[in-house]
Amino acid sequence: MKREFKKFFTRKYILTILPILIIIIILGWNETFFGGNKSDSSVYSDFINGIKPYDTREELEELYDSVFFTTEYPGMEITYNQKKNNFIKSVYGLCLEKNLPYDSVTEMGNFKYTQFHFFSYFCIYMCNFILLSAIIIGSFYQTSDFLNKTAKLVYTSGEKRTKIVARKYCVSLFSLAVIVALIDAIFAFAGLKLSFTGAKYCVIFADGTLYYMNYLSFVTLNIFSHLLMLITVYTFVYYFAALIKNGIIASCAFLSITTILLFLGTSAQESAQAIFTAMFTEGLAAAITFRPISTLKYIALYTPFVLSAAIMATVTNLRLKHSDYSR
Amino acid sequence: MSIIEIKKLKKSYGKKLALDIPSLNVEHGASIGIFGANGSGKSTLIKCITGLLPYEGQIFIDGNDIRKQPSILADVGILIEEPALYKDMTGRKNIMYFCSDTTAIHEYAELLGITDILDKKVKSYSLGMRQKLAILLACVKGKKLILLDEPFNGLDIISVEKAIELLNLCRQRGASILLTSHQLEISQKAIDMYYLLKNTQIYDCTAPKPFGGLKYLVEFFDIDSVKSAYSLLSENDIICSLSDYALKIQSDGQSVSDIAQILKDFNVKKIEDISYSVKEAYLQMEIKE
Repeated sequence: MKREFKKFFTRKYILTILPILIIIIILGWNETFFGGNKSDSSVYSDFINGIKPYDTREELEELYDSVFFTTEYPGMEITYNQKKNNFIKSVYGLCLEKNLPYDSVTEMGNFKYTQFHFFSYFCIYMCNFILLSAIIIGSFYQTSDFLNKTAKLVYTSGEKRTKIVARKYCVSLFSLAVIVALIDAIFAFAGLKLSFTGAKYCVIFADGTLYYMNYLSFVTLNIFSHLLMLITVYTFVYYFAALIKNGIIASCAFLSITTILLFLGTSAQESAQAIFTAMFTEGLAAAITFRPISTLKYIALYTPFVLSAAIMATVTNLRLKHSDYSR
Repeated sequence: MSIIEIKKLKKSYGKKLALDIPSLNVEHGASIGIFGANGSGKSTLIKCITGLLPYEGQIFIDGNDIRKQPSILADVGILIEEPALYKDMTGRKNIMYFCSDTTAIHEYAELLGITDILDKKVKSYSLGMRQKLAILLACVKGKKLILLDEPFNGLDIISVEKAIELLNLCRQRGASILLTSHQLEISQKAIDMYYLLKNTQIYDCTAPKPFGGLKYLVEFFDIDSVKSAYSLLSENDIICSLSDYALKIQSDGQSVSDIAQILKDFNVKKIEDISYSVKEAYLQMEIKE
């Protein structure tokens, strides 16, 4: 493992990755804090503006009762107004539940509606980064031994093939995870400075459910959801490439699928990118905030992805012993 | 216990049978050469022995089934077809990446004459340097067994001599050697047992020779003696061929002294036993088939 780390983290790698990281952060910064805010807040500011001020708990209860909540089901389409009402009612419900001060809600002083200022753009941006880096590194790190013809030496070193493949997997995944966590940490720190001064709760509204948490939980959620996404995608890509022993085919296949899924909008004008991001992040949000039904729903959404990655790894490991490694 | 033991080995590429070796044993400390025409299966055999290729049958290295106990390969040095190394790493780092014990690296590198390039990146090496580094790597790693496929490709005559010297040193230290090569005459210096791969089968060409028998090269001081000796030998049903001032004799069991006795009346310069020429054996086998 130590030798593998030494081989991976060469001076050349660090000198290559550093400028890429800086470019990613600059681009992401611009997108998250400047590009994203304008268009996004214009769509959802109407939601926030719909929340009426109140002075007493009774008034808050009245407001809560006056708004009709439409229960959402997976795949169900609801109108813009229904969605807005659901959000407003959820906020009133949260204010009641938390017994929040009755004179501060008008400015959303206790909340940051994170999904639309910081959260969504950053998450989608990270989603792209994670997918592309996982596909490229996952496709080529292990299979480069076949391109360089070094496989004949690597796989006759005396270790089991599954162990060699797993070691390379761990080292490359760890290196990517460090980068992802580093970017997350930088953005979390920036978000703390720019977007969350004075906020008590970070709120995520998804599929009719209002999730709320403090900023630390929110940052943790971000990091964990990104790492889960990375592990899932990376495992699938890496072991698929290891199975077919061809990084070029694997990367072309996954990049094509990713392009179709992420950059071409669906008929519901909601790109798969957003769905993919939401699937991981909101699923975890639900899990963290202990919403049993929602948790089940979202876990059900991303379970096939996690399972398919695990199955791919298992199948590849079973095939490794009988594969031709003489190329 | 043999260093290499092969039992009922069969390897096919699709429907085409590439190897069918019922049995082969290589004793500890032996140095064997495997020869054969292009595509005869030499590289395939080495790839099977190292477990890189799936096969039918059983292969044991030092008593360990390589498919069940691949850890034995940690003491097996390998060079297959071409010197494939990590180009962005130095020669030394390449060796350290693949070998756990690198104590012999300096001594062997000095013998090969590549000490000064060890700390340079492999991408700056010429083909010959890469080949020498690959041989060095195989020798450093191969404490029990060294498997070399065409090890002398791209090497000049002096480098070949040095490589052979290194291989002989490794043998003295307990390593067995199996090499394949097209350069039969050169390889002869590094091996003492010869096998021929032909039509998926392997043939032992070391004594007792299955083909050719004993052979002598008899040189004379004058051309007249050559012609007369040729006539006499032919009369005695001994197969021979003319070659300037020499005769090539294919003996049917006669020793050097027997031949010397027959030719005692001729002006013989020297009688050389060329029975162990791998090239001869190989060509004989090819002609016979």
